[in-house]
Amino acid sequence: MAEKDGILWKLLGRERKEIYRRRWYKFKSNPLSVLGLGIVATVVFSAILAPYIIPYPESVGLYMNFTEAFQPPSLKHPFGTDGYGRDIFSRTIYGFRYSLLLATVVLSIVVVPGTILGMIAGYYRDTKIETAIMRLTDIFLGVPPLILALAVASVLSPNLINSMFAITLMWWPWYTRLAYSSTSAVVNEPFVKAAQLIGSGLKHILFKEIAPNIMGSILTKVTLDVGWVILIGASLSFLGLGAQPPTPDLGTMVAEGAKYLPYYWWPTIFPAMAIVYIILGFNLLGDGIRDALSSD
Amino acid sequence: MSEILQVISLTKHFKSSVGIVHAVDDISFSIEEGKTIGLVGESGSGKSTTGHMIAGIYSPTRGKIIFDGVDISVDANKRPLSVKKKIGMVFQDPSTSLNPRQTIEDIISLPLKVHMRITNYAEMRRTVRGLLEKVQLPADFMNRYPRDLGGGERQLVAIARALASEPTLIILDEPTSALDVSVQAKIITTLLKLQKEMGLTYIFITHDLSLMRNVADKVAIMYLGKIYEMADTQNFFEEPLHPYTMMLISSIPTLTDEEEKIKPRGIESLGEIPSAVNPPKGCRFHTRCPFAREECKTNEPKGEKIDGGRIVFCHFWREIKYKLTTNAPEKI
Amino acid sequence: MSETLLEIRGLHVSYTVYGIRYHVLNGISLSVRKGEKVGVIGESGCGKTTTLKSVLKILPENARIEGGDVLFGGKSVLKMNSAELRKLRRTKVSMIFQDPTAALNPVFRIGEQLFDIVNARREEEGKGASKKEIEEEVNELIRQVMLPEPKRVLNSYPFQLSGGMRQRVMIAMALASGRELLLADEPTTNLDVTIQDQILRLIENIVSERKLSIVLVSHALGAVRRMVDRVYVMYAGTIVEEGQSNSVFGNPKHPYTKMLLASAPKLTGGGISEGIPGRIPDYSNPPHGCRFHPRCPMASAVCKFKPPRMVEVEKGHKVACYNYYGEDVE
Repeated sequence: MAEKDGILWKLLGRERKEIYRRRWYKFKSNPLSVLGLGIVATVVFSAILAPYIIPYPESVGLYMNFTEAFQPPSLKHPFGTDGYGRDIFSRTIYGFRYSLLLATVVLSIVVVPGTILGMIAGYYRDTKIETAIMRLTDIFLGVPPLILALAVASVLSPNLINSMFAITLMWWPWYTRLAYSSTSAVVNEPFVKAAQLIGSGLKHILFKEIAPNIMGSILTKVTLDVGWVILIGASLSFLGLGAQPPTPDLGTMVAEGAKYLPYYWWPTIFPAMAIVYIILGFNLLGDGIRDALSSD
Repeated sequence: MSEILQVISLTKHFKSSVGIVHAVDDISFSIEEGKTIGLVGESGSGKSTTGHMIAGIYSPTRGKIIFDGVDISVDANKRPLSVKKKIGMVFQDPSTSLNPRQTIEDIISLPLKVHMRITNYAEMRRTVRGLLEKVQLPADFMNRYPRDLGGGERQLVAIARALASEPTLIILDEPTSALDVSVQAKIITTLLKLQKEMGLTYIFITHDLSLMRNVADKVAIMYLGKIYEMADTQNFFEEPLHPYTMMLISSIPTLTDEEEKIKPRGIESLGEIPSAVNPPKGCRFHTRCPFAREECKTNEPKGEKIDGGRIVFCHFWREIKYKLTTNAPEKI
Repeated sequence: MSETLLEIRGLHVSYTVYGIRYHVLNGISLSVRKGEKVGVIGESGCGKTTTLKSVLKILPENARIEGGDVLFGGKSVLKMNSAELRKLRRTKVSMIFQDPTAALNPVFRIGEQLFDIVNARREEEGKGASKKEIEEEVNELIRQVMLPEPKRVLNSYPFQLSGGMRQRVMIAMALASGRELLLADEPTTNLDVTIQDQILRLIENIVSERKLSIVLVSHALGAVRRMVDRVYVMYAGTIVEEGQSNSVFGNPKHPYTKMLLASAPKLTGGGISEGIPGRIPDYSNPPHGCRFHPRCPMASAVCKFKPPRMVEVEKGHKVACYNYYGEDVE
């Protein structure tokens, strides 16, 4: 494999190389995982390169050309055009950017604090600290996710930033819970006890002893969550609470096109399929990562 | 020789969903510096829990642990750093007592970072290399992970880690039970050598009596949380006084005829260990003891001191000894 | 001399893990006669369990039989079709495993599991049986393994029983389906010493009562010594020594056997040896010639070339070691 001769590979110690080699072997032995990786790769690359690769960059913003409106899918417009004559293919690819941006921002904010909170709760099991943290988590988890997001988003003015805020608010407890249960499993292991006996401090135990052992499940969840966050975001946009038109957000596009079903089906169906495509990719990739990291 | 450790009326009860588990009940012993005391017993005997309390993993329910003149009867979090430095522990299963995500260097350098105030990276590596050498492991193990090592090698790493803070007392909880016999031999030989070199005191916990014979200076046998006999190793094995001791020694599968000869006659193992949640009244061993009488079912035997620092907890040990040395096997 | 019941000839088995092939068994040959008690001693990773699993053909997916054969009653097990294998496993040969918890199905009661096994055997034997007859046999089995409170045990789930009791149940299950040969893979290693003693005595009694053949595999040397007539010593997938139990334990010939026995702590004291230098070999790249040579204090140049064949140094006592080539009795 080309990567194996690369400089980065050479810098790794022999032991780490073997670990990665085995994980990759496990990963690639499942064709679905590789498929997931492929899908995700296409999404990420097209999102990054979108402004340069889409055939009709002007379709992304305010653009009107009613002579081209509602063109069915053709060679010229692979996904057809919408009511304003905008090329749906270009808008969909560009829409990947908003989806990934949403996921990246939300998860960047949520993962680290949520996980740390969960680790602390798991370490201080059966104490007031654990109770406080986990009951707080329970409260947030008790509200149906979409309702919570709706409530927040409707109080604030509807736009992409605020929908990010709403989703962040309801997402963090999942990481706390996962970190809590993973930590609870690890904290009773003899190697943690050994570290305590030696007299190491809390910081060391949480970040050097426990964290490396729960990273696998956290990483898996992050990967799977990309798909879910995007879905929730698209749902919010569909309801009008996220990015507003003319922004080519996938959920917004589905909503805009919905009124023309079933006659002009392509303005809705293609963005919807794009959403499915992204989620499928991240789900398969997440499953693959989970399998590859399981019991080294 | 001073007594480095004294355990006085040590007790540990755990709360569980089925009741209170009497893991350890009112045991006392002491150990001299530089020597090895062996705690032997089957599962549920409380030997591991005792070791854990001395190490500080659990705090005693009652009783005292005095180390180097200092009362350390609390769990490790509450003990001063200077005490933690002096006590090391080696756990039974080396695949779980070493963090699988850390390199050997990380694992061994932890006590160095906590206790030895080494901040210079080069000095740290040098010290780790020195510790690996002490346990006869190659220096290039430093970058490896525990999974790359065999069971015996992992245990040697655990020992190196225990030695890193320059302790005076090390608790070894079944350190070789998970290992093959030839690997065990290497570990034990290394442990004994280190003990001589560094004047270490060992608390050695195991269920393997043949091993104990070759390792300990003094042996205490535990059953269901209590000590029933304690003696110098030679006396313990050549002239066991308590029926449980005799039963245990006679159950051992031996390799040579010489070993078969020294096993006690007239006593075979019966029954299974009762639950520690509701231990039998009186002498806890009475349900399996072929010599049990009425008194054994109601009164707990008091420890009787015999010359030479021996102690036995049995109402009728004299009669039993007489019976076994004078006539053929007979079950009551 | 009774007939040979089990014969393993030159068995080679490899495992593939993460794409790498590990050549574990390197030409194992052993035999068990009817009514004979045979032991296999060796340390972890030497291939003892693989050997046993080959007899019942229950090797995992990633194992491959590279060569050799396993013959039971003269017929090749490796070539058997599924019907023949089923008959073998249900009526003739059974196995006791190290961890009884893993061998017992946690969601069925003991009585149900025993019932199924006895029922399956009777079906294979051709004579059907009424529910009552099967239950009678189940009760008889429970009695034979000396389980206290039989009714309670039959109604219990595995988690409700102690380790020793689970092991007895597993022996009962093995007796129900293994009428000719019992394969015991470390049957007492996880148990307390006093319970170990009881279980070993139980197995001894049952084996002699029913005239079963048994292959006892263990790294607990003392347990093997007391139980078996003949013993094989295994190292890294090869048989290095075989002979009568007294002969091998009392007068070991192979350097590995000698060092192994010397490592065992003695109840009489006297200290412990330093063990065996080196580590077990990397099966993905095993040593050429004799697999023990990198660790052997008596190795010479020839040991690195070709694996030594077995030579008979005393009656019935054979060693695979170049140091004994001159002493071949034949």
